[in-house]
Amino acid sequence: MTAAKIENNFESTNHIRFSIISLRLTKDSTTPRQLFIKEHSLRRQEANKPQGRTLFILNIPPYIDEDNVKTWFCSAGKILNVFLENQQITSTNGYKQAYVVFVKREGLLKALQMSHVEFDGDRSVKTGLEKYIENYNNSICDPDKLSKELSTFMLKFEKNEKKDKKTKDVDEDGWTVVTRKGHKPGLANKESVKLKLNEKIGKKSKVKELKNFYTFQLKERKMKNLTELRKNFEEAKKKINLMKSSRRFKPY
Amino acid sequence: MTTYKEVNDEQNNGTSPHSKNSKKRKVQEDFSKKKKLKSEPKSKKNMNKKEFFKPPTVEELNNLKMTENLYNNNLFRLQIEEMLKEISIKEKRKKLFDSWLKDLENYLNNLPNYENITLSEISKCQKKKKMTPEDQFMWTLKTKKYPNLFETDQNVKMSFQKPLNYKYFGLFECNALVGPDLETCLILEMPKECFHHKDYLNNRYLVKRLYYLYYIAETLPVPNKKIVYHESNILMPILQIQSDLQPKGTVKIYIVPPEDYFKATRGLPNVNNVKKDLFRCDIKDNDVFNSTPTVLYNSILCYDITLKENAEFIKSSIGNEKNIQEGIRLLTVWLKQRAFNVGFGAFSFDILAYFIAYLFTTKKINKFMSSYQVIRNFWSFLATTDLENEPIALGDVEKESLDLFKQYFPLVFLDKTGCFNLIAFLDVNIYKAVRFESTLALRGLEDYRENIFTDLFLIKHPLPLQCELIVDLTESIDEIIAKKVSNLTDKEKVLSIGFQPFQELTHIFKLLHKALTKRILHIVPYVEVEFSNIHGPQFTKLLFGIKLNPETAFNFIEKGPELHNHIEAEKFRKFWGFLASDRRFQDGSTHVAVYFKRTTMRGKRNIPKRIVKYILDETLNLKFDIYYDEFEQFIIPRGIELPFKVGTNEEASLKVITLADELSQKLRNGQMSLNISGILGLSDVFSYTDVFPPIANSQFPKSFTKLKQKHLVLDPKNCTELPYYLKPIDLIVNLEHSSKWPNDLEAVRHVKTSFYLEMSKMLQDKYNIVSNVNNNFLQVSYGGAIFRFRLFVQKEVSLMKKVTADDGAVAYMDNKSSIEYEKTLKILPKVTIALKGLHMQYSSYGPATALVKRWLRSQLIDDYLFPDIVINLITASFYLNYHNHPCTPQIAFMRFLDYVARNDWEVQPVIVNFNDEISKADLAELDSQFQKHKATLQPLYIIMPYDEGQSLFTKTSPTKEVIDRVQELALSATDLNTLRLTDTHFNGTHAHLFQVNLKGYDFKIHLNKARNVRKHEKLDMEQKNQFVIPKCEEEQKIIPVVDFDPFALYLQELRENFGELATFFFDSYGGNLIMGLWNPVVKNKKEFKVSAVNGRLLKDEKLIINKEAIIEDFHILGKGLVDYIETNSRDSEFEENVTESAIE
Repeated sequence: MTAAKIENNFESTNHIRFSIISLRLTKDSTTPRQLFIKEHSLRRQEANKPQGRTLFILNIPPYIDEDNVKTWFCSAGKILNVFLENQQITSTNGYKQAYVVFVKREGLLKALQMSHVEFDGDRSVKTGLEKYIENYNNSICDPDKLSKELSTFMLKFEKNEKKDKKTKDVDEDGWTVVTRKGHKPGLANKESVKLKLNEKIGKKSKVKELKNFYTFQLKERKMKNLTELRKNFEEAKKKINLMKSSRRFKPY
Repeated sequence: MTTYKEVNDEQNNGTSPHSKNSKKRKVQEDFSKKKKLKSEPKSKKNMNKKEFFKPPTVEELNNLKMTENLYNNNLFRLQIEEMLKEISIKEKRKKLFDSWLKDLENYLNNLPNYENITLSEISKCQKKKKMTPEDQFMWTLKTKKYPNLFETDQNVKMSFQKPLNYKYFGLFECNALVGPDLETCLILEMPKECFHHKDYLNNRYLVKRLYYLYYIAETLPVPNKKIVYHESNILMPILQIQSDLQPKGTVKIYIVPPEDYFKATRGLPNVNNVKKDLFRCDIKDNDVFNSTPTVLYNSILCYDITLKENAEFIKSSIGNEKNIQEGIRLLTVWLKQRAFNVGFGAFSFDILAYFIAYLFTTKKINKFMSSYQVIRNFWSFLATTDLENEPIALGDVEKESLDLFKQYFPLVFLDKTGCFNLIAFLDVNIYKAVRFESTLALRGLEDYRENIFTDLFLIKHPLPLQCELIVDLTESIDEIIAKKVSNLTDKEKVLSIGFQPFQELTHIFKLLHKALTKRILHIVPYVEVEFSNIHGPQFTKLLFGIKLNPETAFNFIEKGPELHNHIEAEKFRKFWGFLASDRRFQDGSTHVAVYFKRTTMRGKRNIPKRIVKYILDETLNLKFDIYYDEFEQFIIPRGIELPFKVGTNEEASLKVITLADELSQKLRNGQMSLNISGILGLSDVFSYTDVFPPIANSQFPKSFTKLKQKHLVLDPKNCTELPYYLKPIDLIVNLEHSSKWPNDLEAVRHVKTSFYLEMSKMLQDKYNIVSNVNNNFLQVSYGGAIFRFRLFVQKEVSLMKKVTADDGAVAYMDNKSSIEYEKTLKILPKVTIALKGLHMQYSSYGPATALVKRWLRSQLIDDYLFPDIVINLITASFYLNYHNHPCTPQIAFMRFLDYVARNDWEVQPVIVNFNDEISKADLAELDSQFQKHKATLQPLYIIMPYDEGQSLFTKTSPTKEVIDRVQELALSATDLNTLRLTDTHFNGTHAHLFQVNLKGYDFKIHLNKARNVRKHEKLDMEQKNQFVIPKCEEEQKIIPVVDFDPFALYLQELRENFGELATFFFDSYGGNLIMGLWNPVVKNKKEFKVSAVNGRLLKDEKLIINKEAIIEDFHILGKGLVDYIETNSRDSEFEENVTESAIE
């Protein structure tokens, strides 16, 4: 299937224009694979994916990295940047999409004309045991390095905080900001505090009420007991019906 | 996995291009439905409200009050009603059966007469040319295999005429029979002409009765006739007729002497009725013979003499009381589920009816009681009355009479006449078992739990699930019948004349009781006798189960009498043989004793088994099979030669826990900027539920690694094999409160890391313990195990949850990461501690759970599909919810299988109420919440105290499909197991349960065996592959390769990348195979869409799945790990054979 033909097909079915590039991952692989490519065009512009120079690629196998993509398309022209991303973060489908930004538009046009890419995946893709071993060996940290990293971070953090504090105490207009500390601290602006306040008010009003004063109150209470009983009964009934539906009452 | 298909099919319908329009419509429909729903509940609610608040009618009030007073609660009452409905017998069937019975009566009235036939005439009978009907009859008796079961001293003369009288009795007559099978009993009174004066003597009556039975059996024109033994009692043959009409009904025919012909006093237990050795039991002393009463023989006589009167009494007392009849029905179901009503010495339904009648006459129950109260009173009567010491009687009987019976019977319950012990044949052991179950039932009702009803009435409790230890003696039946086992005195022989085989059994049980003493609660025998046309009685099954007493079963020592008590001491020595030895005890006394030296927990658990073996094998020389702990072999770490002795996973766990405690102590003692307030365990090993706990060993495997500073790292150039898997042990560190934590998430995390560094430095400086640190944890190598410590900081959680609202108010909201954080660092430690407590209380909990895990994983359901913690909680649930705690891992495992196979998690959440921390009211509230929302909740819901009823641990898995699969696996496993234990013809071993069925999967990824770092955990492991750990005293000051399992990493990567398209199955304990199924979503073609192209191929303008490429992806991702991948040739359509039992 040539790329041009497919493109035509798409036009006729009124689809977005994608063309197909076949991909061979290793030299002697016979597995058919298709990459879907088109010129990147979105209404919302992104600075790092400039229109007219960016190629959009779909259906890239999970273990392919940016460098691999670069080698695929380097024959088309000089590449500025490659972005590789998953379609959705939470999805459990590892196939990815990529944006290849060429230096010149010619590169993009040339890439769109390509019918296949081939590369030596055996050598340039690091997967399996090799990758796991490397990851493991890299996960071991040197304590000195770690502590150095920490101290630089903390220094920076403390500096920032000090700055923040200064700006907080006195604002632009020269007003002093009231904090929780101080002579008469205000209430913290927290949801939990608000809830507590509301609760308190509710409690106060409850204390004022007399519960066994009028006959109607007694009557109501009796009725309430009864409804409670009824409700329990109804609930049990519902449960029984459920159990019945799964034929749970045949002992043998 | 049928439901799997359905569910996904539905999904397909939703997403497939063809149904786009329909989807839209559906959405609209849904929408309108929602609208309706919205308006509906309102009106319904109003209606409900109205209904709730309307004034009550008298009837309703009574009903509600009654529920409160007479039943446990609403649900229990409704459940009883439902079940009674289910087991009731339809009027129509009753009528059909009645009309059949009318026919039977007709036949009985028209039986032919054969007069004056003697025994010798039958045996001498010859075939003649011209035969009178009498001759013909005799000829058939002789030739048609009607064996003469009993010898007698006379050539008795019999006359066969139609019965004098007949009468129905039994539960059907009393309207208390449980459907669906109909069964009634019929008494036939033999005519007076049959008898002579002293026919009760010397088997004469038995012979006449037998031939009369043969006469009925031969002449009754009904097709399905069979002679059987009443309750497997070898002196009581009866005739069983089955109606040929649908539905099937059974009639049991009992032959009795004419009313008032024999005096019931002839059957008192102080009378001798057999003067000659007619049962060939080799009695030497004739004086003893004539002076000793024939107790059991008399009981048979008495049974027949009093049967009619007693049956009438039962009918008159309970024949009209509906609630009592219902109570009896419930109790028969209860007995039947526990199989107490079968075999010799059973607690039959007749006995049950007598007990109820007794309670009725003594006014312990009355006709105003509900069926619930009837069963409750019955249980409480059984539980509180010890019939072994307190004889009871139905009628007014003098005390002397009771004492007389007490002298000869272990249990006494006299009938109306006062001459017959109704429970003469009830086995004491079975009685004890019924009593035990009664107490359980009563306690269950007291602290009512949701599933108590199911447990009492709806679930089968076969012997193997009741008793920890099962012994199958079927093989030595012949030996036991041949009376080779016991040395009984002449007197004992006469007392139980006619029942020698049972006497032998009683002897065996006596010995077992003597040897096991307080280690056991009771022994439940199961003896089945069938009638064979050639030999008469044929013992078909001889099993017994031993229920252990959890408190004392595993004592190391069996203390005998003191040494200076020579006679007793000698007796003790003789009994215990080589096991006995003289010992001095701590208090200075010297005793003969048996000491069982055991070093492992498993060995300790084996003590009862050892004793049973000693008695049966070494004392009695019997052949037998014993089922007790076969499964435990699956949780022994066999692949690694260990530096210490192990029985199961317990020893290694204990070792790790001790090490962890030591290390924690050291950490807490070290001076640091913030004090440590607590260190808690996270890993399964702390609750003894880890199948393969890390082995604490001073030597670490060094092959295939390089040393880099103090770390061993993997050598990428030399990795033909890999060092075996070392599991790290996770712990959590809580710090004392401090207000100085920074107000920024990043900063908190950095401070945590610096704290790890501080701890690491302290350990190095103060104790010379090696450790390393990364951003997530502190990893310490101590005592040969690797511990990982993580800090739990409350501030971190609140920072994760912190949200600022528009009005500037700060709120704290749960989000995914904060939930995950709290789940593992805050809730899990609490659960682990609670589980550890549970194990301390019930020592079988840990290994039992490990066994369950081992089984589930062997069926390729791994932690991802069914998490470990969920298994821990489920097994915990039935230690917490039932009073009958399993004593051994094996029985707990079998109960787990049974529980999983029969439980309905959709209706019933699993309740794991540690220490009853959730109050009853809260529990009810949580349950009703569950019932309300269950459509949207996870399919397996666990209610426990620490996660506020959110069931956090089952949020993502197991899924409905996995649960269905597990349920199916469990069902076939239980069936297989019951078969193994009770069917003598079953050939197969316990290992079958752990074998996996590999049929029906779509692809099979063969992994490179050399790279399997957990091959020592594999089930069918050959002993050769053992990793040997050299013994070395000096501890290595390095950190080995920890937690590196490339197969697991590969599997994880597969799931992350292809989880949408396929499901993967793997035995995480040393498996070499990853099995896979394409998800149903793969099957359909899709329209071209950017979101749908992944992993697909465009063909004929449709996207189809690119299986070939995906399989190639599997290869590439698993470079160095995958040997080859097999795919199922039936590419497009695959059948789901997986659902078939895994054991084939």
